[in-house]
Amino acid sequence: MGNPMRDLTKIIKLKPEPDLTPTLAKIITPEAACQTVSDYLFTASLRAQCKRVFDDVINRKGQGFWVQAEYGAGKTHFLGTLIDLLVWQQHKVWDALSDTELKSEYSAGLSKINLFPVAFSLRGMGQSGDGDSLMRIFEEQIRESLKTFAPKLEPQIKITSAELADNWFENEANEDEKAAVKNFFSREHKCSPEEFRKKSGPKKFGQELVKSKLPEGRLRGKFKERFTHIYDQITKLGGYDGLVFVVDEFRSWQDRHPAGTTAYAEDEEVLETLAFVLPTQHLNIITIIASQGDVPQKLAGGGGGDRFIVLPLLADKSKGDFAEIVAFRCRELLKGAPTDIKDYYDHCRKAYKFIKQGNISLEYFTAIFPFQPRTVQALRSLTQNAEKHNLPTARAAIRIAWETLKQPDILKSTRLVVLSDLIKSPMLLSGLNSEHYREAYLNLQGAIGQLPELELADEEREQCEAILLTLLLWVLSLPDNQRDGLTAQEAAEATWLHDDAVGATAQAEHILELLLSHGFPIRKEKRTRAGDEVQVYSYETSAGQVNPVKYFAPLKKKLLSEKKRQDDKWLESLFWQLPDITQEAQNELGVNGGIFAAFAPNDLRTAQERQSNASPKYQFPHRPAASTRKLYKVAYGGEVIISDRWRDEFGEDIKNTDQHFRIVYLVRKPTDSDAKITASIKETRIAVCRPEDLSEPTCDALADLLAADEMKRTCAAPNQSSLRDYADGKRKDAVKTLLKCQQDEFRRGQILTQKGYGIKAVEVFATPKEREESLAARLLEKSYDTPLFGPKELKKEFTDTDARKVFAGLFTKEPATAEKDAVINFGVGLELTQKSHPNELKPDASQALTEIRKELTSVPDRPIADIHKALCCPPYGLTQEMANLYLFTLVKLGGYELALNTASQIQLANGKPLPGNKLTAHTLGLCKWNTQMDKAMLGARIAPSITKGWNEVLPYARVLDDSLKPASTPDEELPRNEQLLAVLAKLKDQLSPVEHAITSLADKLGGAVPKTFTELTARLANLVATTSYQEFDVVARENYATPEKFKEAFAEFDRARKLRDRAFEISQARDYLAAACEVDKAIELDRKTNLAYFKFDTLYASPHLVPARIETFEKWKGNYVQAYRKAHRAFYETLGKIAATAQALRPAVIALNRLNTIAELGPPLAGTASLAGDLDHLESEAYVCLDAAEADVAGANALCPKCQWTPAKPLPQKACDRNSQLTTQGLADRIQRLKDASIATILTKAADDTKRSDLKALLDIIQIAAADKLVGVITDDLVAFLRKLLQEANIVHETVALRPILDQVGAIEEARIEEALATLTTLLRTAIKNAKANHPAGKRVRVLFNLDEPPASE
Amino acid sequence: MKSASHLQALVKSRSWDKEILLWAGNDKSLQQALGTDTFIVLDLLDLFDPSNLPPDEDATRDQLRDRLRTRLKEIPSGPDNRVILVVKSIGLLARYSVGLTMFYDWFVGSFTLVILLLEGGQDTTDWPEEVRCESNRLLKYFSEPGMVKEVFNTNG
Repeated sequence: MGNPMRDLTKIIKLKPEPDLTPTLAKIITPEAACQTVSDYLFTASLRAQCKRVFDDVINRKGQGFWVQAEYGAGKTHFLGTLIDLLVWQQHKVWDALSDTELKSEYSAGLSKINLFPVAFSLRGMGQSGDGDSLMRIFEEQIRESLKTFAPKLEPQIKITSAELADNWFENEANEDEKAAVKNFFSREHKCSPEEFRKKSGPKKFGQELVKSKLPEGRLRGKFKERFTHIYDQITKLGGYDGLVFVVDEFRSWQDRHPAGTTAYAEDEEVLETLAFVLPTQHLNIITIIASQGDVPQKLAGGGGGDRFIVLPLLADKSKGDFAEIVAFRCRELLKGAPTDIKDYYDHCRKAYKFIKQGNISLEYFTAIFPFQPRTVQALRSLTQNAEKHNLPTARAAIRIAWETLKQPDILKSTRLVVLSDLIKSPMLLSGLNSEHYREAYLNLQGAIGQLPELELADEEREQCEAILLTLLLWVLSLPDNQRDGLTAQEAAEATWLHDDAVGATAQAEHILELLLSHGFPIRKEKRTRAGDEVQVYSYETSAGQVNPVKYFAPLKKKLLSEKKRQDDKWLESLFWQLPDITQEAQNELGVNGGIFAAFAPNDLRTAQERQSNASPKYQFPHRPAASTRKLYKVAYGGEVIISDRWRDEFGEDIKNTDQHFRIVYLVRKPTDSDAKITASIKETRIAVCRPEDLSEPTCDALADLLAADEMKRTCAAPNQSSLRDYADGKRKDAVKTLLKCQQDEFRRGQILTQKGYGIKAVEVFATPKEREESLAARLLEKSYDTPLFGPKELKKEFTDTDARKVFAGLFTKEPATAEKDAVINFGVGLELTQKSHPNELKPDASQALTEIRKELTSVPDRPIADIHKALCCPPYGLTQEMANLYLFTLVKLGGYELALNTASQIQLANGKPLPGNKLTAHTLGLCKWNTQMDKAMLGARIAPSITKGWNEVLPYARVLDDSLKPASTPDEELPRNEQLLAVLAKLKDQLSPVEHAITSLADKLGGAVPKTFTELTARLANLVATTSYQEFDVVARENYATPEKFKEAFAEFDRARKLRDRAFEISQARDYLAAACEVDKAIELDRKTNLAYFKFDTLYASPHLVPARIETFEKWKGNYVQAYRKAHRAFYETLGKIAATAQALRPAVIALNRLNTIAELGPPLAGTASLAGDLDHLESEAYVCLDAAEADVAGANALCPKCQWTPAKPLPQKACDRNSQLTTQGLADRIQRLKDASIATILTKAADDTKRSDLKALLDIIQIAAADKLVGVITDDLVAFLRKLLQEANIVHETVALRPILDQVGAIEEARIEEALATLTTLLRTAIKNAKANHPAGKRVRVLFNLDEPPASE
Repeated sequence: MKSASHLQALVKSRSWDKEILLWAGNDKSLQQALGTDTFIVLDLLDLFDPSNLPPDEDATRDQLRDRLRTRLKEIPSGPDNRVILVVKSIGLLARYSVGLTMFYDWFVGSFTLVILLLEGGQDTTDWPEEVRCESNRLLKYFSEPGMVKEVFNTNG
């Protein structure tokens, strides 16, 4: 079959050169809106960002959003698209949107919302001097938007102080105020206010009023007041639902106003007012700011985005978007492309490893097609930092990709676009010539220039060049501090290398070694990939540089003496998080950060301090959220305290019953002695861990770390990469060493407890994991030595959540599987169930219940807090949740009830309130143990009560629904009865459809419904007709002697039900298989096998096989669809060629038909008379299916629904050949006849006489027997002429002179008339006889008389 | 400040990236730097009708903005029609607080580039003692963040 892949021109089409520098002003015009929206690709993450905005718009909930991304990442396009979708609905922008999810979810909702838009870019808006004012710009832009979007509304809206002042004077000022104004204008301008206004206009007038300060207090001077006033006017007068402010390029504005300046403060206040202050007062204002920079700290809010929600574009989590966007903007997929792309995908999966290694799905492969994944990965890195690389993110990448695809040789190829292809992009070349890359690029050019010296074949030299280019681009794409290369296999894939003889990888290895051995700038190193050691090759971009030790050593020496900086770094290192440490340290030491990473306090540094790399600031003591540690497989809550010194309060008693231990970590050795600390500890459940003074290796590692950081900062020049690499290496080592030292310092320290348990620090700090667990366990082991439950029987660790699950599993009506599992896992250990019945409540042996009962003996009505205090402490060790669970159990068993806190009303499962807010054995099962219940338990009391228990139909009923629970009291019989009737009603509804479905399926699959099933359905019909559980019991026992027999019979119905659930799929699969045709022998064989799988008897007996059968079918279908589509396409490609041939034949056949009508040329050549009809037939046979590119067989149709094509359909090639041959022969025959001498003579003469150009052309054609040229010459007119000509060739014209005859007749008198006429007759007859004698016999001779001319023969 | 050769390299690029540049030098030196590249000249003073000048500062500003926007929108450009626009009398942009918004909003893109011509160098006027002339005021204004992308002159 050869290369199955078709060239890219048949799969993709290059889009017109994309406009990559949109401006907000241009793309939100109504003319550009549809194009803007249709050009935008909503990837999954962008869609999610868009939804966040739309959700708030639809909910009419004002909010601020901060769209953050690198320069060129597409912020403006994102903003423009949002605005267009919100504002230009009447221009059908939603029709232009290709994202169906957004369309279906928001199109209708947003159409009901009318927001007034104010959108602008701040770039270039600076004022000279200190004149910048964001408020003024907002005012101006609101005015501009009014002019653009609501011109009729515009004159009514007062925005600026001057406008408000003017309005005040006109409409609000009282007589006294007007008098004051009059006085002011009279004094200042020597005229009345009205005269001034008329002369200078309302604006100037307003400005003067502001200057006068007379309307002060009425001008809504505060931002909040001003915006509210504007909002009120626009929404009320314009009928808008709210306002949407969109501000682009905020970074350019931010950069003008350093923190601390007045303008900076104004920026913050204006934005806070819009995004937070006004929305909290229910003003529906959406504010979207786009910036390259971070959201200012003040505007970030206290979490949860209550001021500005940050919407990052192309950030780490959504980096996959990049490739999809790049491909989307460059090319469009042609119809049928998915079939071809799958061929590429399959080829890559077979020939290369990158698909499997990168776990690349067909969907992603299609989205980025035709780019090889490594290509877009490198492109992403190369364009990541616009400021540094002069290649602005997505914008540059799209242009590079577009320029690459534009190359004709790439589009004509049958391969993916690889890294080395990118070099053909002028944009990339321009980037490589920038300061950051220039040196490396020149180096590459030099290397490529040396390639001819290797004397290689052209193909191999091209491969060398591609590999050099690939390695260089790969190295440049890596971060500065990362050095890595490609293995030979990766290099082969990245360059799409192939070599039939040795294989791609071997060829790549050969080339790389060749380049290495000839001194090309390639470095070979060992690296570890997925645990294996491999050789990687990288481009060597830098030559030898200065010795890094000369930089590093003096720095370290200086820092070794700076104890304060070391202390700060030590403290910081204790709280390092995962990103702060190296991968190597993580793997080697098994840590995810510093020793106290899990308890890191907030860093109180300001943004400026962070930027200047100041040491972190922490506040001690730090009490992180309660920690949970396990003992006896029970999770106990406890407290961890981090502090820089000892305080006596750390040793006080643990007062909360939900706290069981306290661990105090001191970050450095305290000044207090161990004896003093021990004396201050009042509880056995408290431990204090303190380190020793820092050792020399620790100080050394700290100095290394500080020196490495400093060296990295100071060696930032592009040509100092090796120094930075050295510093990086040192830093990595120092981090690893320091992490080890942290453990060592605490191992050398002490663990202090009240009773001197002698817990060894060496053991507790032996491993970085489970430290608190181990320490708390040791404390609690000694304190909780009489647990009131069976820890060994707990099958898993028991948490507070599990207590709630056990509650639900034991007490509620329909517990979830997890809840039932919880009962099995913990019931026995908690002594609530027994091993023999692990899911039934049987707390006979519960020590905790015994203890609670003891507590209640003397005072039966007690607050549950008393029970907690008694049991959640040494030596019993119950958690608060466990104690509650036992209290609930006590209630369930009867005899007690819980009077809950009346302030927290509990609702039953049926929605009714819990009567008296008292939990009883009857109502317990109708309640949920949730936070509401927790609140209700605060202050609850336990008191005596009475309960009862229930019936025997349950074993039968449970056959139908095993979730049916026993009723413990007669009261519960009614709800149980209702439950059973509900189950029966459900079964009744199912009965008939299942029966019908099984009968139909048996019919479809050629099987028969078993008699047992018919009988079963009849029995079940009787059962479902019962109206109470008593009736049910009677009918059930009549039909089935025991519950087991009933269960056995009902299992058959269950199987039938399962089969019914998949009946539609089975039928569809069966139909598909039956309709499918033979496109490939192996596929056909599989089809038959699959068909055999769908036998009714088998599936009825074993419905569990259905999923496997369907899966096998789907797998087969995938292969069939691909094969069918390709065969279908190939058939119609050939048929298309036949159709073209038939079409080309048409003029020749027309010409031949015309010639055949000239009967004078003799009868037509055999077979040519019907050629026109034959050709019509052929053309009809050669009709090309409309879905030729991609047959729609992926759904329910196994054959193309448009043409029903199967491989059995023959191509009309023979008919085509025959028609072609007959046409040629027929025309040749006619030419031969025309060439006949006599006819030719006639024609030649006629041509000479008539001067007809077509006749002359015909003669020329006849002369050279060029049948193909007849087509353009033989017209109906010419054919008619020829016929006439040839017919007329049998007629002879003779002219007889009349004068001699008349002379012979002479003068005639009346008496001689008869005689004269006789003479004339005789003379005429003689003349005609003489004329005819001149011609051969058979000719028709026509005579003409001439009075003047002498007689002449023709 | 970058040199004329940097400007030459930039103007020869196939596409641009929202470039508004400033040439600190005279008309002739800019023409020399641009060499054979064709360009359009827009003198902002030409946007005003000398016989019908606006009455005050606000009106001047509005007229300058409106007419500049209209003029910029009229200039055709595209992948096959790259346009370099040289703008003269740019002091008006600062004087009337128009800034560069109009250029960023309505003109610069992938195939359009603006060069602001800032003529005049050292001030030689003998000002009275109480008057101080900031001869580089305009240069500072246009060089501030968010304004022009690069500043060029003959020598860099």
